[in-house]
Amino acid sequence: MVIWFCKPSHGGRNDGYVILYFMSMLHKLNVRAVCREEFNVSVWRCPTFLFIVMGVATITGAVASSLFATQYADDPGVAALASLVVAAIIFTLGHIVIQSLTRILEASRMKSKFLNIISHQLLTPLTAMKWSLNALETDGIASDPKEREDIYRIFKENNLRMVNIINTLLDISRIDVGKVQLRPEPFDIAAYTKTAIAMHADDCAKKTCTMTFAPDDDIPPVFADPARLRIVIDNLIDNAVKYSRENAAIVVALKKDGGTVTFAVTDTGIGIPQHEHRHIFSKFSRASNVFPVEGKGLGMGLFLAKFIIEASGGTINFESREGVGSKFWFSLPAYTRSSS
Amino acid sequence: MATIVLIEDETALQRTLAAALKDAGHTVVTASDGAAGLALAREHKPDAVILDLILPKMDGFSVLEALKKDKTTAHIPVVVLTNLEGPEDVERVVGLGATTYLVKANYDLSDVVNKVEEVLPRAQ
Repeated sequence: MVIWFCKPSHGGRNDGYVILYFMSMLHKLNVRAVCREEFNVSVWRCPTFLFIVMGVATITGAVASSLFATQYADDPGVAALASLVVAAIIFTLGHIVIQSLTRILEASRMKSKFLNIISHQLLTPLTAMKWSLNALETDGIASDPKEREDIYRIFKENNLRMVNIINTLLDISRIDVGKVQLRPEPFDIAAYTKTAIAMHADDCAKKTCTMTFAPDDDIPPVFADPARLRIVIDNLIDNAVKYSRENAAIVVALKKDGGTVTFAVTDTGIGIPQHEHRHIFSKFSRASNVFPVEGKGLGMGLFLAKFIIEASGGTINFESREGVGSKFWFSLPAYTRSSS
Repeated sequence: MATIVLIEDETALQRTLAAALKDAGHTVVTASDGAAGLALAREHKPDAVILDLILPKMDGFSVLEALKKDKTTAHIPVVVLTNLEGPEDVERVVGLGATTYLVKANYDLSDVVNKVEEVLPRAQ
């Protein structure tokens, strides 16, 4: 195409060459593929393409206004200024329009991703419940009391799992519309942490990992919504177990420091790739290296945790190295009489 | 009756399907991750393998590929049982040599048992 562009002109065919050259550049930049794969829209509605069009329009506008100004203004400085102003206006307006379009397309993409993840997460417990009922209808299974009891337990567990998923979704939806109401009260974080560790002991044992609880003496209660804080503690411990390899060591610590209590979970798991750190508290965020270890998850746990902790007047953070492990912690104000 | 290796990490699904297969008279060997499942298939040389796709340690695609590349296990029919239903997943799995592709949520337990029995060597 460069050869075409350098050919001597033949009357009006130069325009055709320019268009062809432009199209070949688009082909080389693979704009079509980017528009299809990233935004799932045609080229003419695609921000990447429109950005290129905006660049061409800006340059054309600048050149045209410069020519126009040179013809009518005596001072070359005025011509240059006019050209600069026109280019800046075109660029600014174009940039605003493209940014809005990008945000709309991104929201649409997130919606599709959301539906895909949620459908998947709901299908598994739904299948488990259906198969449990099928099993209870099978004579050989139903007549064995131990089998029957096991299948009932599976049914109940998966029913609870569905309820938890729906509750998480409702919480996310309330966060989105700013209607989450926290009901803070004194909460014995040390006692619940102990319970949460016991609840995850089986999963940890299956992976032959060890979980140690290291609390300071006399941890005071914190002032937070108990139901929501339980979700945060469960999520952080659950992540540490899920993303640990065999024989990993997990340490859950509680420290008091003046008027705050800090909860921390340190694992020697798969860690989070450095370039994904900034997204880790975003909705649907799951590190790219989780899938060989644990395929399931909504990617909502840390988003919820950050919201709950910050809305409770606390802070949450983490440090992580891929292949080495992660440490997640949050700090909340200790309960005092003035808290309520 | 047949020996079947069931590779499924969801305890509830593994437990219910294994119970149904045993009730139908088959011997079932279970694994909860891809690497363990592949090892069991190589060890037992079963009559069929039931394989989930999203698995810890080694995903179902890699297990299927390894089974089909290994001369000693290439002949074993593999029933892929998953809730992934994208056309690209089906294409990939069929390309790798799976015998049947079933979407879990669309089948009753007895249907899954029937589909597995259809691929057993004696039924062919």
